[in-house]
Amino acid sequence: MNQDTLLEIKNIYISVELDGHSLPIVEDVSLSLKAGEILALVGESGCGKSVTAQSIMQLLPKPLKIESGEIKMNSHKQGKIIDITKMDPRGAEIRKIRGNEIAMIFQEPMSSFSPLHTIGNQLMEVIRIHRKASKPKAKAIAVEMLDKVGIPGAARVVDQYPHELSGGMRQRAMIAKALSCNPTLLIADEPTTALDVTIQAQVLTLMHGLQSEFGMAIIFITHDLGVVAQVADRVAIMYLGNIIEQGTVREILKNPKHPYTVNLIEAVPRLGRLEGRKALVPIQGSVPSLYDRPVGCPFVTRCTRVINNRCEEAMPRLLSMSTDHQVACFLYDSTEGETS
Amino acid sequence: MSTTTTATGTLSVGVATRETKVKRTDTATHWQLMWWKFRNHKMALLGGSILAIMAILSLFAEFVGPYTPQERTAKYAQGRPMGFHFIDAENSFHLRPFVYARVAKRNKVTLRMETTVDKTEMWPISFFVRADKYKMWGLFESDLHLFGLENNRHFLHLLGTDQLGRDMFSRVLYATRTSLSIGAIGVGLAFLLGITLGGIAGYFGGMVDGVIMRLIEFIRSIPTLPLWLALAAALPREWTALQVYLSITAILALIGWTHLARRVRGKLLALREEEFVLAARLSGCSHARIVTRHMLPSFMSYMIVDLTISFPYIIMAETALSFLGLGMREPIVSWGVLLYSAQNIRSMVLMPWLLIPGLVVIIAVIAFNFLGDGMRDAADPYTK
Amino acid sequence: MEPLIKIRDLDVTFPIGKSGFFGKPTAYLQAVSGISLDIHKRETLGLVGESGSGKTTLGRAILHLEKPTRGKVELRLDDEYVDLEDLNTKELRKIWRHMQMVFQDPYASLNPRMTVREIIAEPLVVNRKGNKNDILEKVEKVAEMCGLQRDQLGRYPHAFSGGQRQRIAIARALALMPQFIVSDEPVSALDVSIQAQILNLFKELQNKLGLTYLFIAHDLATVAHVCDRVAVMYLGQIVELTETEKIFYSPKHPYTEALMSAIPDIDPDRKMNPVLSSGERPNPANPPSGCRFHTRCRYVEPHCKEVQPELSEIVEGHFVACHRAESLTLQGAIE
Ligand SMILES: Nc1ncnc2c1ncn2[C@@H]1O[C@H](COP(=O)(O)OP(=O)(O)OP(=O)(O)O)[C@@H](O)[C@H]1O
Ligand SMILES: Nc1ncnc2c1ncn2[C@@H]1O[C@H](COP(=O)(O)OP(=O)(O)O)[C@@H](O)[C@H]1O
Ligand code: SF4
Ligand code: SF4
Ligand SMILES: [Mg+2]
Ligand SMILES: [Mg+2]
Repeated sequence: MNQDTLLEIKNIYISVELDGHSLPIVEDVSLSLKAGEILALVGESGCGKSVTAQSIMQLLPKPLKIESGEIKMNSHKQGKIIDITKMDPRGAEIRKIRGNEIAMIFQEPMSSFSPLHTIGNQLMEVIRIHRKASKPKAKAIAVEMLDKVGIPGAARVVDQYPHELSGGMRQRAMIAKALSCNPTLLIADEPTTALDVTIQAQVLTLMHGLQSEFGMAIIFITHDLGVVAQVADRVAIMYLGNIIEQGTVREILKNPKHPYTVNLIEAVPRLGRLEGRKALVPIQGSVPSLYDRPVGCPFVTRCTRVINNRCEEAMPRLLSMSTDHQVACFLYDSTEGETS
Repeated sequence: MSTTTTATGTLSVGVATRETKVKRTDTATHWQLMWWKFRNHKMALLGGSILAIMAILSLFAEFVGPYTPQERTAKYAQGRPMGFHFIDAENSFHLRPFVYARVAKRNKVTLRMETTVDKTEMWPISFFVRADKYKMWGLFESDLHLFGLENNRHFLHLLGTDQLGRDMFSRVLYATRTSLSIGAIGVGLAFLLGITLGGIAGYFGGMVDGVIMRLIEFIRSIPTLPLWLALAAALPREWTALQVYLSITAILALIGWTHLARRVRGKLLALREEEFVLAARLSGCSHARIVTRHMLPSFMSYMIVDLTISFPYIIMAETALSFLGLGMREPIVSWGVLLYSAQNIRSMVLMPWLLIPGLVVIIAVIAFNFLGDGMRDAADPYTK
Repeated sequence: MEPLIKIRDLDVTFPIGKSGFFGKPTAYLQAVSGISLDIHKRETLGLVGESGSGKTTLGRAILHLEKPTRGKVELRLDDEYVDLEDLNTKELRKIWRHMQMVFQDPYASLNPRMTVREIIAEPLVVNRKGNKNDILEKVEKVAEMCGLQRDQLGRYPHAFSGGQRQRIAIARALALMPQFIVSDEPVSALDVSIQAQILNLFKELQNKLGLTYLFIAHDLATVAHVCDRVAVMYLGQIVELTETEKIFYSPKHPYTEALMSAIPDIDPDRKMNPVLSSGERPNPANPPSGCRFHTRCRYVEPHCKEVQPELSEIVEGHFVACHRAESLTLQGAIE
């Protein structure tokens, strides 16, 4: 593992046990993240974004299981490289990571707050555990954090209950809670999907600011390419449990290679093309369900450029197009064999 | 070009081919889906089967039980359960099950009558025997019993007898019938009240809703146990067993309906705003069609689940009332009535088999809970 | 040209916070407040605004699915205006043959206990549009128009993906061949890659059948793509209404400017620069005095807090409700 690499996911395989069958949900996903980098994980609903994120925290719900692969993290606080997949999901080791080195925020901010305690108390609890601060000190830090995420009147808000805040405020409070222990990695699972554009813009600006101030890395999960373009440094596009293309934002959005990415960008309405307003070019068909995962390339049922006898047979490998652009599509794989 | 990952799907279990096939579930009705989902729930199936067996056996209690509930075998009062056997003391096998003979002898020391097992004599059990006369469901007379002893001087008490020598097995059967039917009628009544009042409240809303909701809140604010006690104690002593039975059922239903009414109302209010109901309005459907075709089917399954879940409450309530001596009384037997006679310590120590009805109550309640669990899952068959 | 639908001074008020013995409401929420609007034949009128601004309520009130508390809605039928207020329940059902709705959530808008054929046929059956065979024929025709295959019609909704369900819902809305369709966020519950299919279907049907749409959405790029005119709502009121290009190139209301500046563009070189950086959405049950936007407006003047601006036509076809509309130079989403 490279020195400035913060997190490295290698060939991770996650499956679900259903009616005695084991169905793959995340297949052979590899990702790496440098310190201070924002990586967007993009894909349609059900493609495995959340599951991938949960596996990093060892938070997979019951029927899901990591079959193989490794998730390595360069722990600054512990000063060594740790392998998360080797940890017991309920053990002490992973608890030292969760909320401390890696924090997570969710689409529905209500889910990470208890309705019974004030925002302040819930923040202070985290702060006291992770920073070993006294009670008054913790409260001061809590107010400071709320202030940092742009909550007006933070001193008043600390004593309010979650339901007294609006959606955007709650989202910020959740970010404050996640940040209060100074994580090196923040995983944000569709943090703005439920918000209005105006509030989404505020949250995005906020996350950008915090990333440059604290220098933490962010994995930003979304299905909105516009959001990706605005926040991320790098992007990984997922489809049916596979990463089919990844690279820098500019590369992927301006010079997409994979037919899915190309079509997706064509299919999304955008402002720059207002004149003329010609019909969008839709992608045919719909995303197959987990139970109908096609053999071969996951996109084969909807792809317009299928190569007969190849795409239906095997899963294309993720190959490098340039220094930071990789694609998994046979159109760019001239070799039949192992490595080129 | 360099390979970043070597990716060939190794794990391909359950991976389908490219053709989309029509799945059986695509064209299955709601009830079919519910049944398919329910039947995956093994414990619920077990619970359901136990309850079905209980119901069928007790429905034919006159035929299945060898005795009527009030009939006494004086010489075997307080008798232990008699085990039946296929293999005798000499290790020979008998195709027809038998019980060993019992002989009554006076104990020389205590001077009390005691029965002892006489292993030399066997009383074979016969099936479809003619014995005591009974009136099936109070309708037609018969004397055919599922099993019994040919010789009417012999006796057969599989679960023993009580202080007066009445057959516990038969009594439990009759009691099961009473208790389950009280549950069924009680739940039925509660359901009717709940659906009507909750339906009115939920469909019309406004002031009607306000009045009904206040009434429900009032009833619910009264602590249940004292209320039952008061109502049950108010029943005239001279009432016939049937009158008592009906009134107790009504009392239980009177309290049970509030919960159901609230659920019905809530569900109706929610359904009224469901997009598919709005769409039905826009399609030009009349109120009657919207209610019968769109709203009722949608909440019937939830209501059935609710019924299953409220069943054991009513049964337990009856048992508790009767146990306290305020509910049913002899000659009607119910689980509570049977437990009432097992109340004192002496009989619990000397005649533990009198507690068998308690065991039956527990089994029934657990079975209902399993069944309810399965139904709850099945009520929403669209989630995996 | 005479508009297809005329909406005048429409109010929808909901009672909230019931209490007391008969559940008397303690407060009222005006979800739609004094809206006047014309919808022209064959146009697609977009309706945007943040969550809770009253878009759905307005859409439903136009159809009288939700009875307006004040104001009127008139539909032009055979060169005459019908005032929906004057109609009883039976007559309303007849009017709904001409006005339909497509809902946001295709998972909730189809009765799970009816097959697709039954769902699409229902409006035809209850409106007695021919005998059984005629109806089945019509169902197949409209289903095909919406991209559904004949052999799928016997299935239940749960066998379909979101996009296909939305096609079913559209087919049902079209079964009676209405002139006007309110579509309430018809694509926001769908997968990104499916949205374009449905948007194109809407366009195609409009061209083929001459439909008029009220298209509710919160995704501005989608609105920009499908709508001819756009109305921007804020706390129950329309604050700006004009052609799509004008809204996006040269907005005249500060709230529209804020909305436009918050659109995350897919081009990474066009970084957004949101102007509305602080301020919370006011409680709709207790809207601010004067201009309802004054708590968040960066151009606010003392006058704004007292006097409510009227929606007025400042340029031909461009309606704005802002005291400073004529003097401000605002930034659009696209230069
Ligand atoms: N039945 C109701 N009772 C009380 N208040 C209601 C009711 N329906 C809507 N409201 C309120 O009216 C306002 C407008 O609601 P509406 O659903 O029209 O908003 P919207 O613009 O469609 O929002 P969204 O984008 O979230 O769909 C909101 O404040 C909402 O809470
Ligand atoms: N607890 C679970 N049990 C069974 N399947 C699950 C569970 N959680 C997720 N899945 C399945 O895993 C796949 C990926 O889910 P997820 O990662 O949540 O998707 P998304 O990309 O929308 O975040 C989906 O097909 C989903 O149905
Ligand atoms: S591998 Fe084949 S099917 Fe898959 S995206 Fe490339 S061309 Fe299309
Ligand atoms: S009237 Fe005043 S407060 Fe309202 S939008 Fe215009 S400038 Fe802003
Ligand atoms: Mg997710
Ligand atoms: Mg809405």
